[in-house]
Amino acid sequence: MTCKEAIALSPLFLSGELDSARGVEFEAHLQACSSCARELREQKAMDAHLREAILEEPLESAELDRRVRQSLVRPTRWRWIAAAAGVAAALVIAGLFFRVSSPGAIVYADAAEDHRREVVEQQARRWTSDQSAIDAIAQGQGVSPSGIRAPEAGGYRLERAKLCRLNGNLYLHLVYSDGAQEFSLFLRHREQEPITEPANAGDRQNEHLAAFRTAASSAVVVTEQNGGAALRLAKLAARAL
Amino acid sequence: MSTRQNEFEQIAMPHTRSLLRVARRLVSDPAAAEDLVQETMFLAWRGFHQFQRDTNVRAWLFRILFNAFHAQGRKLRSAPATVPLEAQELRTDSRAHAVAEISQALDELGVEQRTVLLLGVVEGLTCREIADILSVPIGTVMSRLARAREAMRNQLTLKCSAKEAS
Repeated sequence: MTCKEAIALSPLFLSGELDSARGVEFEAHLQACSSCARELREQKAMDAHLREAILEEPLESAELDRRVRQSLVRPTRWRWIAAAAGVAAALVIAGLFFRVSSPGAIVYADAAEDHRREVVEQQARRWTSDQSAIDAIAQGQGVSPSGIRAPEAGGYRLERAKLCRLNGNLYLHLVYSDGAQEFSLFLRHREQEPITEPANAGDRQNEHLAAFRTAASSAVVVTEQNGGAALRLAKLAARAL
Repeated sequence: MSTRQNEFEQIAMPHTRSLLRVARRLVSDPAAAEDLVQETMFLAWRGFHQFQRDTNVRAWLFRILFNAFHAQGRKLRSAPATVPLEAQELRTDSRAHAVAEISQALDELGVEQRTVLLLGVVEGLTCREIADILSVPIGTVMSRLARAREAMRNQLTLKCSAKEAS
């Protein structure tokens, strides 16, 4: 075995995957070649330091475990129906929007996907439902608390909020309920980076979207309710934001 | 708790920490890393009936995690996890300093090299398992591992030299 072969096979040697014949050859080479033997010793030492260092880092997973367990015990039948419908809708949306391939189009596809996962399928997330805490999150994003409450005049109750990323950019994700259906409003302060598509609305199987831009905000509304419901909430929000 | 859920608890749940450890170094935002692991576990639960009990559950879970990561790739920017400056400054003893340097050197590698080191060295998966997880030939894993080890050593040597010079 040459030094070049030994170095090439060293990853398999270190992971214990060399077959016995090659293993014997490899060991024999190390006995004869001090340079390769030193190289292997150094690799082993560095591996050990790396392993110890990374395993020593603090890692809190109790809350994550709780969220995972919570997601396992949800009623299976509803989850499967929702997941199947949601996937179909997301694929259609992705197909339509990715052909356009603009940043705004990706924002819409991400918004539809987040709504499906986090609102329709109810995958556990760190939502904030305390109203003053929601105001604080909104203010932190440059969004006026009175603006996000404006849809309440039209019968939409603000239920919870969290921050999320659409196309890699931070958005405020607000969930409203009209008593029958839930609506996602994804909001971003215009100065931070507006989405680039013009205001519009669209019906795509299960998920219906409406988007708007004002002087201060860019927003996308997503709901499963049809008949212009997304547009109605978008108009209410657009007037106040 | 159903039998299936009980089995999932025993077989899959003990590995969420390993998944999170790797996810934290794939995704820049800690909350997004947790979401990625949660999505992984949800997909694993959904496909648990297909899991072959005599195979490596960690390799199976990591395959799901990387598929989910690539599927969400346009949303989750691949970036190393970072340790807040204050946290680094608080760790003043030499052992803690060495640990921080190694961790930082790992974060400075490209995502491909960082990934094979995490899976192979930290999580103890074999080259064949890593090849299966990442859907690449085993030769690719071997060469990435060799280059990653060399890059790590270079990074640490540089840091050592810089420290001596200062």
